Amino acid sequence: MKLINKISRYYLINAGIIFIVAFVGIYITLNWILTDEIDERLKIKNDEIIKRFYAGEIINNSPYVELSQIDSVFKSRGYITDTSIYLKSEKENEPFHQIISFLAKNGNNYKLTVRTSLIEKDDLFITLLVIFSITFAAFTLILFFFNRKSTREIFIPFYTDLEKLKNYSVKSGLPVNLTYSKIDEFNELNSVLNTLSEKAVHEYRALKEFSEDLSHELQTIVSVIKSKLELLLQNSDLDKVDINNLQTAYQNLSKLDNINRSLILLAKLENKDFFNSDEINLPDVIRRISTNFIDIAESKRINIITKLNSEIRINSNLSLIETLINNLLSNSIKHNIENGTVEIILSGNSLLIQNTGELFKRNTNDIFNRFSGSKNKSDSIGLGLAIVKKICELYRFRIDYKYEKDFHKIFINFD
Amino acid sequence: MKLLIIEDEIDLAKSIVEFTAKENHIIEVVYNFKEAKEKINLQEYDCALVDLMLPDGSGLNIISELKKVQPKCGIIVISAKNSIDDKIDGLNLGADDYLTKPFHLAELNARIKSVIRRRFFEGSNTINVNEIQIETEKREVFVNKTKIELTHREYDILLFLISNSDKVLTKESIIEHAWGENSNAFGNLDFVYTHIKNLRKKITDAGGGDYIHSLYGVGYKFSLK
Repeated sequence: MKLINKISRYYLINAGIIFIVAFVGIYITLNWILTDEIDERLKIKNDEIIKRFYAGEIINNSPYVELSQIDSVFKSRGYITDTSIYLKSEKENEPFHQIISFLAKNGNNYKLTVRTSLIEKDDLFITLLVIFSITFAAFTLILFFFNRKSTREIFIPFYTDLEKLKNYSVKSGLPVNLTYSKIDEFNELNSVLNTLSEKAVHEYRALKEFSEDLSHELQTIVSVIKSKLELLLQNSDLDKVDINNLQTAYQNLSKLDNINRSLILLAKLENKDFFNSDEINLPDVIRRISTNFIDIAESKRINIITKLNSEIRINSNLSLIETLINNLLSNSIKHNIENGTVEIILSGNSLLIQNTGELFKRNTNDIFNRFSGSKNKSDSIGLGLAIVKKICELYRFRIDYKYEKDFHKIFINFD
Repeated sequence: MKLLIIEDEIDLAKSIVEFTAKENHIIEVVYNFKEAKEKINLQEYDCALVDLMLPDGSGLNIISELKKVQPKCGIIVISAKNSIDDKIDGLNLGADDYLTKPFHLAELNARIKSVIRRRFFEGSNTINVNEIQIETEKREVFVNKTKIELTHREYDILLFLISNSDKVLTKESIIEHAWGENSNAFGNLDFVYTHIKNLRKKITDAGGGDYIHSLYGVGYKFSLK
């Protein structure tokens, strides 16, 4: 529920309660005053009629004044009672107040009833109800229009800011920069968010620089270790065990090196660094890189089939495109089976690289995430496809993955 | 040949010196920009290894200075940055070659030799090792004066091994040399064995000696001994 509606609902509920209480209070007070007034008049009228009766005037005006002769004598009670009488004019029973008096004149006994109608009290109720209803309806209507107007004036800057926040990323390197609002609460929130985003940007930049520096620092360290291992290997006194140990160290260092290089590239891609662009003949690049894989494929009895039916050229960085193709092909060979195939199909604006292989146990949506590579292949470092995805994002190529009929399929659309 | 190594990482510079010790080069090492500038204005070098990231300046400036004062000197850039960053910059300024850290010492050694061959033995790019003769310009190999047909990869491997004779070369370095920088993603490296086997067979079939030795599956060595 929107804030303004929540507030309005509270307003309406409270206003409703106040209206009802006021209505009841006013009605009871007015009713009491009115009844008192009516009864006062009834008494005066009664006294007047009694005077006129003794003066010899006979008044009979049913149902307001009724005079009848009676046999026995009653003591006059002289107080007001309620009654209801059917009125032909209204065609229903209407409430009356009446005073009954017993009078004696010339040895005869009389019963005098003087009445007055209470229809005015009904009118009072209806009038009050109408006034209150109209006021309440007007109140609701005004609230409604007020809300619409205030939503527009007060909340539109708020929603604009909300949209800004939704689309905000610290990677942009800029603070979120929310608009100034005349409302203190929003202003305070905005200034807190602005400061927060500035801090986040600062921290992010520091972290980015740190990881880049670290990676470059690591490369130098790896270089030194690698060179020392190569020098050690030249020692002719080494026995087989020594050499195997050296080899293990060397291979793991190579893995570390690969991971580090991949992370540097990923960081660059994520930072959207500037990359030189050239016009690249894609089929040429694919042809050149796929020849590099022929030997490794043959050693695993994997057949590489290349169908390049397009002369597509794309404007992008050659090294990145080479990395893209290289990672895809190396992936398609790594996750292949004995006697399997890799098909590279380029047609129109799209490239399909498909290979035989078992279905991954993990979620297919995860395959482009870093370190989600299957753990059982110790050679795989799982960053290859993450890099592929980032390169595609950089150049707005559409990339999709599907597993179909024992084939892993990766589509790239270069539009 | 006279080499100048400009590299701020002392341990790495020492490794390079040690690895190339038997090549009969005269090697001088400087660790910063200032020393490098002084050296290149004082003495002549045949080849310089330039690290682009020096603590007190950019190696790119040294390259342009070298091109001015010693146009004959070959230049190999060694940098922690890779091809996507500044390979183009270095090569545009006139460097002969570019190596990304971490590199194989054997690869660097082969590149140095290749640069020197190109710069100082133009016209007679012939390498002779006993009965084996390599024409580097035409990429042709002769054993006992008879030409043998090698594949592209076999030729690259042979030249790499001979450039680093008496050195153990790891499978990784051989593959990276013959299949390119990205080949470290291949995973299984045993396929290089087939190529070495074929290469040895082609040489011995033509009457050449069996000079390529395997070292417990770690790598290979070309040795006349």
